Amino acid sequence: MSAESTAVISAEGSRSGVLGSYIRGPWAIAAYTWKEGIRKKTLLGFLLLSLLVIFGSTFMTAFMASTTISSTTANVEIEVEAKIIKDICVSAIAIFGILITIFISASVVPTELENKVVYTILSKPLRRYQYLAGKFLGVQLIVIANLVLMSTLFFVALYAKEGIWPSLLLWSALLTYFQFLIVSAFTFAVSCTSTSSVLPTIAGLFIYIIGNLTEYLQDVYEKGVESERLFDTMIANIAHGLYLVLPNLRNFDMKDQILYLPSNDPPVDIMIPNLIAYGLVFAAVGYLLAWVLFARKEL
Amino acid sequence: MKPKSYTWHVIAAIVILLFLSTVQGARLSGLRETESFYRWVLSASLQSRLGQTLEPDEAPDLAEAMDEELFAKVLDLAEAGLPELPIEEDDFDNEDNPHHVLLRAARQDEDKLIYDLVASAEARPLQDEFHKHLANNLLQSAGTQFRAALLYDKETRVEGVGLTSLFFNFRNFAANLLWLQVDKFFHRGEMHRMLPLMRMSVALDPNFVDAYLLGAWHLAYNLTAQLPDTPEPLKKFHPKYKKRLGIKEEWYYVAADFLKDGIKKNPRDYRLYFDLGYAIYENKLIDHAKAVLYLTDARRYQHDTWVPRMLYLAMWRNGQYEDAIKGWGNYLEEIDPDSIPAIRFIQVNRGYLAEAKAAQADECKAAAQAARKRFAELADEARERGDLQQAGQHESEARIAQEVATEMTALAEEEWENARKIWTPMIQMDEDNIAIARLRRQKAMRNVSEGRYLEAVAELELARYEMLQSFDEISDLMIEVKQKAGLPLTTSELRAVERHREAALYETEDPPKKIRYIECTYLDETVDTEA
Repeated sequence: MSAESTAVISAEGSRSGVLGSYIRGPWAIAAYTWKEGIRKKTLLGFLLLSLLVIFGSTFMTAFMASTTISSTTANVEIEVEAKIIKDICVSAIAIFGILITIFISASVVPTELENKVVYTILSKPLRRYQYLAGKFLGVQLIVIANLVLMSTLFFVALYAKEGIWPSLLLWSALLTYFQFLIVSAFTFAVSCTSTSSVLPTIAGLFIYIIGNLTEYLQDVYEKGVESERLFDTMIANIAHGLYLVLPNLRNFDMKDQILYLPSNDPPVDIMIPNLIAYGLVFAAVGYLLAWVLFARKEL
Repeated sequence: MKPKSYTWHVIAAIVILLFLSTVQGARLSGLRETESFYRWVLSASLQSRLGQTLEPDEAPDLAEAMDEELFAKVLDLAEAGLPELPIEEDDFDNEDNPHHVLLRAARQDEDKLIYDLVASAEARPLQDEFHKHLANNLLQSAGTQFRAALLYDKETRVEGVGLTSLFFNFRNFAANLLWLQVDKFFHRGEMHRMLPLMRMSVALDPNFVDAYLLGAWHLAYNLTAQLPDTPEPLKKFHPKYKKRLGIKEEWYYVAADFLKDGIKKNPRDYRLYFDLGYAIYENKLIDHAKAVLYLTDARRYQHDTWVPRMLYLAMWRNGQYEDAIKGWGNYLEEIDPDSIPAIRFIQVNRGYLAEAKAAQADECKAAAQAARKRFAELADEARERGDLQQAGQHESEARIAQEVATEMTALAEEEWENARKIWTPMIQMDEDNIAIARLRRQKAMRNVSEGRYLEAVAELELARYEMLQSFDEISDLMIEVKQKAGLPLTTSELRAVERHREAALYETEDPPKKIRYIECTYLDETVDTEA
């Protein structure tokens, strides 16, 4: 793989001018990161597990129906089953999607540092930020491909149950991707400081947990300002500052609004572009952080 | 390694982007807060339009609720901030006054207008007030759809921060697991253990509409099926519902409250309105007016075809015959031109309308005759006093009353005849049980007016078994006829009389207003006019 990738980059670099190499170099890196990524056994394992859970959700509800359908109207039970399928699948996509995102984001750079491929690549006419851009892009391609695969199977499972394409869920899947993007960017940044993927993986899990607990900081702030003691107020202000700076991944959880409210619901219409912008800004922060950290790395 | 100069540029870019992300984060927070306020305004508008109070709980340890006060301020803001909207057929309250413009906007799905209003700078102080009250748990009409942490504060009294954050994004999944447990309890027959879990389940997932539907059904039907009826003296007065309730009725109201909570959180799901209107109010609480109210709302949102059918049936039972005829007519035009029930119930409602007009014409005739007698007496008194002008005036009024009585006699005859003309072909063509029962009932009433009480009772006896939906109504009529004729009552009739007597002793509500089908100045002026 490493010989193949360096050959590709070398050829790309020699064929094009400076401007071309700005785009083609990272793209070549992204392409081989993608090829490498889809061959990773851990990721394949996660993906297969998630597909198994999504596929299995229909069997789970079929089993439940035998205990409940006799007790109530069939219509409502079928809707309960569809809801349970939706919730299981959305949870499976969220859990396995985030695990895939963290593992791939945490491993792409450290693996190449570990097996020294990075030295060969950086000896080519390719700057470090281009290398990182290619790696980051490759990670995103893998994350998107996994998300698309899981979502497609989910939609098929739902179609088999309800007979309609849940097109609104596409919005939910899109927002889920931007949630993954933020976690991916910061995990990627941490991975640029490490020579092993263990630390960035743990860091990625913490980023996800912290991102989901930022509303807890807001609660701390609200409770803190109620108290008139100086220490409580100070803690409240620190919590509020962190609440503002840290990414709040709960913001992306709009599945219920998207699914259950009218399609032209004003808050949802306004929130979606704002959330996309929010995700992109944090992703840019994560990428630039990775740039700075990688630039300072002794190679 | 010494950082290169562009590294500082990147660091500067990071700082700028972090600042931007903070701004965007604050903006999203603001949007979330506006969203909560907007959803509360929508929900409160809906509750207000349906005549529900925004502060229903009577928990003694609860601080004063601020819902009504805050909503009044929102209404004032909307008065000035919303454009004038057309007043449509459903935009009137019980007193026939048009609804407030905000309530109309919510009913007419003018979501963008409402959102722009609540997101405006003028609404900012109200939004802040809303969040302050929400944080202090002072809004009873707002619930876990805004802050799931309220669940813990309210139900388990755990003080502290939002524990539900710990569920990450898997609250819905947790709600499903709880619901499976509810289902297990149901199959084990441990109904009493279901309610807390049902509440927890919908608190975790406020959009779990099926849990509301099944939960209410369990409460109102399965749980109460095993309970005995409560004798009238043992019923307790419930200030919240302003009614004396037995054990069964208490559960019906718990089910109704459960569905109302679902409506608050999912105001545009027709199934909640339908179940509340049809399954609870129509079939369990036998409150046809409320059933019509909620079924009308169920029809407003995307719904199945049985919704209008049940609405028109509820209208029929509520005495809104003209509305039901119009509704069934629309059903034939728009949904199913060959619908046999629609064709049948148009005829049934016409028959009932004719009978109702005839019955009210008879009442009006009696009232007019009484008025004529009274005016004649007054005229005599005035003449005795020597006040001829006053006497002349009373004589004139007595003449008018006599004319009305004559007119009403003719109208009653005409309408009874109309009803007969409707019922007879229905019997000849389909042996329609409603038509048979109504015709027998009519015959019985004629027998009563002619003093043939035994024959009347015999006809009513047959009528009540023809149409079991009217069994109680016709049985009561039989008792009335027997009492009038001095005939002995059966044991079950004596028990029914005793039940009615007891119920009357404990009656706490005003009787429902009668719908007026004809114009009659001699009848009670306070009754409603349907026409």
